[in-house]
Parts: sequence; C-alpha cells; structure tokens
Amino acid sequence: MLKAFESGADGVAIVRCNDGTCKYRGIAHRVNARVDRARKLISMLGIEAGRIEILSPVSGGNGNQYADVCADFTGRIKQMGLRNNKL
Amino acid sequence: MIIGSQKSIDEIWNMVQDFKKVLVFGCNTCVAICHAGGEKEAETIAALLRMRAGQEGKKMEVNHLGVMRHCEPEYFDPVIDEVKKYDLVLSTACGVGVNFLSDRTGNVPVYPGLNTSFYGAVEAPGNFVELCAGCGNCILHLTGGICPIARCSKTLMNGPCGGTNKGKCEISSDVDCAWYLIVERMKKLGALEKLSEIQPPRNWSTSRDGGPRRVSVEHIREYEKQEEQKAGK
Repeated sequence: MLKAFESGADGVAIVRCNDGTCKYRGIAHRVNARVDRARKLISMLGIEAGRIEILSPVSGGNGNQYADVCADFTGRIKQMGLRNNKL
Repeated sequence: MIIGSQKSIDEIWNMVQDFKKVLVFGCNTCVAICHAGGEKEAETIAALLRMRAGQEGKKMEVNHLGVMRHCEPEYFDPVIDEVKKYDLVLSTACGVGVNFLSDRTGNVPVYPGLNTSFYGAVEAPGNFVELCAGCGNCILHLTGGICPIARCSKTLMNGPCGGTNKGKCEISSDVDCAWYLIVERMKKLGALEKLSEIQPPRNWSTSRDGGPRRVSVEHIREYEKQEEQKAGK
C-alpha cells in the first residue's frame, strides 16, 4: 500500500471477497487491521486516510459488478482531488 | 524478550532530515516479535521517510536492511561493509543493539528508531507485559514465580502494602497487585508459610546501582582463548 503512494498513487483499493465468501477462514479482520494500520501511517504524512479503501464487491468472477465497484472508487478519489504532496 | 515501541515518524524525521543517505536497519529478534523494529517495520519506516523527504523537497536516499540480531557480531558482520556506506544508520533494534552497533560502524552514527521499554512477554497478540526487571538477584522461588521487583509498583520485598484493593494496585484499578497474586499463588502451591519469612533489605548492587554489568562464562572464555592461540591471534 505504501509503495503505491510512494509511486504517486492518489488512492489505493484493496479488493477482497465479501465477508463469509473467502475460502480462507478469518481473513477479513486481518485485512481490515492491515488497512487500518496503513491508513494511520499515511495520515502521519498528511495524506487523507480515506485514500485507502477496502472494496469487497462480489466474486472476482463477476466482471461487471467488479468494474462498477472499481469505477465508484475511482470517482470518490477524483472527488477528493489529486494529492498535493506527491514525491 | 526485550519490548520496544517505535518512535513517531515526526521524531524520527527530526533526527534524520539532515542526512543524505540513510539506512533503516531492522533487528529480527525481540523487537520484531513486538511489531516494532523487525525488517518489515524497517521497510515501512524507510518508505515513510522517502515520502516525507519528497514532501519536504529534500534529496535523501533511504534504504532498509534487516539482520537477526544487532547484539551479536556474527549476525551483522556479513553486512557491516554495506552498513558503513551510509551517512546514518537508523537502528530499529533495542537500545542494546544501537549501543553495540554504534561501536562498530566507525564514523557512521547510529540513531535509535525505537524506545526500548522493558523485558516482557506476549500476554496476547499485540499485548506485551513487563515481567522481569533484570535486577541480577532472582528470588522468584520465594514468590511463586511472580516478580515483586518488576510487578509491584513499590518494588516491595515484603508485601502487600496498604494500597492493595481487591487484588488491584492503588496506582490503577487496571494494575494487578503483585503481592495479591503472590499470596494467591503461594496458597495454590501449598507454600504460603514461606511468605512469613521476612526478606532483609535488598542489595541493589547487582541491579542498576552497581554500574554497567558484565557476565563472563569462564569455560567459554577459556575455550575462545585456546582457539585464538591456535589461530596465532
């Protein structure tokens, strides 16, 4: 996640399965914890925490819904604007 | 193990901002277990410093590296030449590691990325608790395995004091009274009568009051000397 911001990303989406549909047990809270940590870290640099989002749309096999969720995310990041303090 | 916690990125930045080439050097033993100073954390700090340098318009090269221990030469000797190529080493080892490495990096300063906290154990994932004060004169056989030096707020040798309250310490209802725990533990062990023996005033010269401490294991030192003689050193 940090590497993406370091490379100049305006937002980072972590895409995972919906709760209860992942084949790995108990993975959701670990993903959430890591994302929360990354949000705190970028906040220390003055980057808005909301620039990292977890998207848990549908099965990765459902292309249309997947594309919609990603497009929504892109829209939200565009609304936030470009990061002022890129490298 | 030794427990530490990371300094804030602002504090670290204030220390390192005037250097051009910085190595964030992780230690993969104790402080990696407490999620503070292992190679993963070193990598994260390095990324944050690079981004901060970019924000501040400073040209700074920041890399990371990690070895198993900063407190034993055999672990960092293989990379010491690489380490010496930097203007600054930000060590995320405990204070022991920072001291030890600092003596071996020539003109390259070694700064601390962590605050070293205490000797502790993993109470639960993410929770670390102090259980030993390293006082140099262990009396845990007299106290049911519960250390009054580390765990009693007053370091009492003959407790509890009048501040014990339903198993908690007077300093906070979140802190267990060590002497309450000791009494309960000794009851379970059937050894409560041992506590009626009054402990005399403690000799603190084995602890912090005796200056820097050193332990030499004679048979190992003897073996090492013989090996050095054989090698003609």
